[in-house]
Amino acid sequence: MLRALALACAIAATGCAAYQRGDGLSPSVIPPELQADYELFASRCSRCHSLARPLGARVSSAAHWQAYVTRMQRQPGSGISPDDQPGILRFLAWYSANRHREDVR
Amino acid sequence: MRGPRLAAMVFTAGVFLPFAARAVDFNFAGTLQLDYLFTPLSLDRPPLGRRPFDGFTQELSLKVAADLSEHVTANVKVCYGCHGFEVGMAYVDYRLGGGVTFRAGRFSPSFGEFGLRHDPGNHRLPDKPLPYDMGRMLHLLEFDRSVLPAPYVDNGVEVLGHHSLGRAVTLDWAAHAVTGLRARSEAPYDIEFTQSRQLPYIDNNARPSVGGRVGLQFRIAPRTDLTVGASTLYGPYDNNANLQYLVAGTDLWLRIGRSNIRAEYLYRRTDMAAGDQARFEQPLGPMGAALPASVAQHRDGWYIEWEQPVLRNLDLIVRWDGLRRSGNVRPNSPLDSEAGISRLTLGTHLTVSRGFRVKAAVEHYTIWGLREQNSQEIAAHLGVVATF
Ligand code: HEC
Repeated sequence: MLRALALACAIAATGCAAYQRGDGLSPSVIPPELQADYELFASRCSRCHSLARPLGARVSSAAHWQAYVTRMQRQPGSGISPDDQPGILRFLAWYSANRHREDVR
Repeated sequence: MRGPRLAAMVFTAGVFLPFAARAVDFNFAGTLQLDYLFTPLSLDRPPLGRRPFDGFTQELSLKVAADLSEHVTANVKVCYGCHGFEVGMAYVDYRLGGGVTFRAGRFSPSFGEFGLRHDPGNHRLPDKPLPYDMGRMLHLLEFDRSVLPAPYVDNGVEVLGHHSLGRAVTLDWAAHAVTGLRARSEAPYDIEFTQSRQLPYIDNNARPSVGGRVGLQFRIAPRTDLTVGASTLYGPYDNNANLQYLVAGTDLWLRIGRSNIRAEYLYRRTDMAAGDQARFEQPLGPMGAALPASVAQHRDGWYIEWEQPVLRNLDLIVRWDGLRRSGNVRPNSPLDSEAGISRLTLGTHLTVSRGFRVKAAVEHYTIWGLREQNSQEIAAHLGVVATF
C-alpha cells in the first residue's frame, strides 16, 4: 500500500516537475486575435474528453471540422451552442494549418 | 485457396471502393488503459478466490468515424478488455433537420451521464463509479453486478433530439428500442450481463426493451453550465419474457470553468423467477398461500464526484459512491437480504504529455450485509492511459 502510494507520488512529482502544458496548447503560440477562440474551444471541447481528442484527430479540412463540431454539439449535454461554432471553427482552421510546427505540436 | 482469396478481394473492394469514389472523411481514434489494482488488506485474508484480484487490467479501444455526407456518419469501435474482443459501436447516424438524429445499429443506448464518458480515455479516475462498475469493485463475486455495468451496448434504433430553448437553455432527449438485457436460463435470479454482451445477434425473447433520456442544460454564465437529466430502461429479460427489469436514473452536472461536479443516482428493479421455495432463503409468501411466480430484487447506486484542476496538467478528484442490494436471496448466499458498499476515492490525473496520462487513486470501502463479515477495505489503483 505504502509502496503504491510512494510510486504514485513519485510519478506525479516527476510529471509536474517536467511541467508539460497539459493537453492543450501553450497560449504563447496562439496569435492574439485567436486567443478568445482558443479559450472557447478549450472550454467547450474539454467537457467530455480531454483536448487530446480534437488536437490529436486526423481531421484537417474545414468541412470535416464543421461535421465534427456539429456532431459533438448534438451530443447530450454538450454545452456547445450554435453561437460557439464560428469561434471554435476559426481556431480549428488555424490549428490544422499550423499543427506541423514544433511549438504547436 | 483461390476462391476465398478472390472473395476477400471482392469484399474489400466492395467495402472500400464506394468510399474511395466519394469524398468520405475518416477519423481514427483509440484509447489504451493499463491499470494496476492493489488490495493490500486482502493479502492475509483467505479465501482469495472470493476476494478481488490484485493485478493489471487492460482496456483497448479502436474507433473509426466516417462522415459519409453532411447528414450521415458511421461509427465502428472495437474494444479489447476483460471479455476479449467486443464490438462497442457499429452504428450509423442520420442527422435530420431541427436537431433530430436517427441512429441504427449497435450502440450504447442513451442513459445517464457517465455512459458518454465510459471510455477510459474520457473519465479521469482509473475505475468507474460503483453503479456502473463492470468487474473492478471489491467483492464483485458476492454482489454479482452493479446497477448497470458500463458500457451498456445493444442493438436497435434510437432517435435523439437537441434543441435550443432560447440562448441559455438546451433540451436533449433520446428514445430507443433495443434487443434488451437478457438471461438465458429458464429461472434466472438476475440479468446475466456478460451473456447480454456476448450474444449480440440473438434476442432471447423476441421482445424489445425501450427507454430514453431527457436532459436540460442551463448556461448560467459564459463558463458555467448546469445539466440535469432523467433516464429509464425497461424490458423483459428471460427467455419467456415473463420477468422484467426497470432501470431509472437521474443525473446532475455542474461545470464551473474547468471544475466539474457530477452526481448520479441509479435504481434497478429486477424480477427473480420464484414459484419454488427451495430457491430462496426467506419465505416467498404466507404459509399455505400459493407461491408467487416472481419476486423483485432492488439495486441502487450513486456517485458524487468533484474534479478540480490544480495545475494545467494535474487534476484532483474526490468521489463518494455506493451500491446497495435488497431483496430475498438464494440459500447459502454470501449476502444478507440488505447489503451494500460505500466507497470514498481520492485520485489524481496527470497529463504527462498530450495524449498520455497517469491516473492514481486510493479507495476506502465500507461493506455491510456480507455474511462472512462486514469490512473496511483499502484499494489503490495506478494506471496509464494513452489516447491517440
Ligand atoms: C457532450 C460531450 C462531448 C463534448 C462536449 C465534445 N465531445 Fe468529442 N466526443 C464525445 C464522445 C462521447 C466521443 C466518443 C468517445 C468514445 O469513443 O467513447 C468523442 C470523440 C471525439 C473525437 C474522437 C473521434 C471520434 O469521433 O470518436 C474527436 C476528434 C472529438 N470528439 C472532437 C470534439 C470537439 C472538436 C469538441 C468541441 C467542439 C468536442 N469533441 C466536444 C463527446 C463530446
